[in-house]
Amino acid sequence: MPDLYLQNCRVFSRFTTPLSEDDLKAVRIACSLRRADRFTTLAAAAVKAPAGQAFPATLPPSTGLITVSAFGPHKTVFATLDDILDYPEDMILPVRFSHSVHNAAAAYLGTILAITGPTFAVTGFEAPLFAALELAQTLLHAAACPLVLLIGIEERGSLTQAAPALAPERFPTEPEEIVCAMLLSTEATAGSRRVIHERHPGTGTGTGTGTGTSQPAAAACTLGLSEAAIRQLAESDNTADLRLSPEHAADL
Amino acid sequence: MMSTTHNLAGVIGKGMISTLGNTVAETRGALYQPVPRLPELPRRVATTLSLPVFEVADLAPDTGIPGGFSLQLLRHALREALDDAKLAGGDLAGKRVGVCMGTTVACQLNDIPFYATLRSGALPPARPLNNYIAGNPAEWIRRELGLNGPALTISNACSSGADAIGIGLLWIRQGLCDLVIAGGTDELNRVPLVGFNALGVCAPGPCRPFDADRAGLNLGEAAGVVILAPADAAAGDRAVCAVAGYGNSADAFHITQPDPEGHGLERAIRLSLDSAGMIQPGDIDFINAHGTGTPANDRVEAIVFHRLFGAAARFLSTKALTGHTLGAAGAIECILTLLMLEESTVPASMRFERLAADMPCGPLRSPCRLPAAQWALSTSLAFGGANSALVMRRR
Repeated sequence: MPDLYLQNCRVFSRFTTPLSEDDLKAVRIACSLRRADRFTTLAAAAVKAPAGQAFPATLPPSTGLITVSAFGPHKTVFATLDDILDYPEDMILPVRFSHSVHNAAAAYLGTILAITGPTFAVTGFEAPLFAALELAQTLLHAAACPLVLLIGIEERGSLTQAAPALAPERFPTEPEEIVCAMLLSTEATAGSRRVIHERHPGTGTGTGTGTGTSQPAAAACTLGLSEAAIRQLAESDNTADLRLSPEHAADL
Repeated sequence: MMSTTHNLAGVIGKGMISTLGNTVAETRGALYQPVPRLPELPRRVATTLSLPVFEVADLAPDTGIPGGFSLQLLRHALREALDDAKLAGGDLAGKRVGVCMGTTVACQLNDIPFYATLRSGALPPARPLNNYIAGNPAEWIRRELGLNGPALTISNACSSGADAIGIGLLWIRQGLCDLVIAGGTDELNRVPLVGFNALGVCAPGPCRPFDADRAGLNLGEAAGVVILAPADAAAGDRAVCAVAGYGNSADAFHITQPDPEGHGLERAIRLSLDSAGMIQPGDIDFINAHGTGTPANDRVEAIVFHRLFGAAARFLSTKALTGHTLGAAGAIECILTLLMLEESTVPASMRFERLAADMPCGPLRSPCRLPAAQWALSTSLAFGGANSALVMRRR
């Protein structure tokens, strides 16, 4: 499998560059996101927010696109449930429902950036960013696209806010809101960083029973990244190898 | 999607549950029944809407499993696929086994009582949240079977299952895995039911894919799982059929409507043919279309099939038999396509009677015996303009 190189990266979080609601409003106007929800706006901000490090204004149309999130657009899912709870079933807003699916943000990003390459919305709780990095490497190795734009999004909402009270053993703290954009290729260029990621985080034996009751050891929130990993990811002037491991999530 | 090699992923095991049957054997029989089962009003899903659906009735809900009925359907199909592949638990030890699954419902926490409590300001029970987290399909299978390969859950709406199998093919090709468990699952659920109704795409009666009088889709529920192995390995070499090519392309057009000219779908199909070894459109013996029964989807597919495969394009939709099973659709339609290749017979496209004026070609009106059929295509289109195409080959 060829090496993976990070060509550009922007990370918006409270540990790095924070995004304000004014920043999101500017992105909403600039990208004509009048009807889009906040989750999609966060995804667009990853590449289009005026704040943060420089990012290519345009990408080749054949660029691949991956969005990754554990909780996804859960605020919009809940807004759809508000409609179901408050109105007759034949009166819910179609625009809410259509934005509640995980891949709505990817659809908007493809349109905003005019990219038509292979497009995926990935979701998981154990190590979602690593699964997405693995998919990026698979697509690049298959020559399915010359570049992959990987957008990680976790949105803060009533579910993430309640998580520590509901399941303290799983969520010692509230999952962080974070948005990151990673432009990946298999070719090293000036200023790029080689990404070394743990490809197989599991340590399985292949002898599982399949009783259906297993539980994840821990729910890695914030895309499976620790505070240290988030800060490391945001170091734009660092060209040293970027080592990412799911175990980093343990200290967040 | 060009690939560095054109090797195949042999399908060494299949498992499927839908309204066509609880097993692949039952499905194989029902696929060729001249009078298909009709959709009915939902029984398990509480709703005031009078919408016919395809609901799996012969599987009692098991509250002991996380992830709701979607995971129960998946467990059922997974066990059948592993049995079909003659893989017991210990047989996976020491192998690099990847899991790639598609879903839409299982990756949303749309538990209405849970949310009603949460929004009232009270603390709801933790179980729905814990089940939602533990019920991520790919991660659940990896844990359940004690596997150590990659685990990826794709939520590309209605093309999720096809994409999961396509990525499984790439993992096999690239030598990342010795075996891949790939597929999709989705239960019938109140939220997509009212959501699709709000979008105005649900038919008031049985769906009629590609027909001039088509009035929308019927939702359904299903799970489909295939076990893939390299075709140059012993197990894969014995497989009758293989997944041979995969293409994925985005429309970059609209959040719910497909590009009316189908350029994204055409790209996905062409990429899948290239991925299968640069085969030509004329090599494809038949197409299992997405064919939802909505005016927009079916028109686009017919236009693209006509453009690429000509007026004699041989295609059908199986959604009049199963309903639209969302994240499972691409997976079960891959399995149905494999069954058609194995049987060398393509069934009629059910409830197609009359070609619409805006469609250049229509699907099969009667069953078609194809003794020499070798190549088949399955297409999937999704919310957000996602297009996927899988090429299957009989060896």
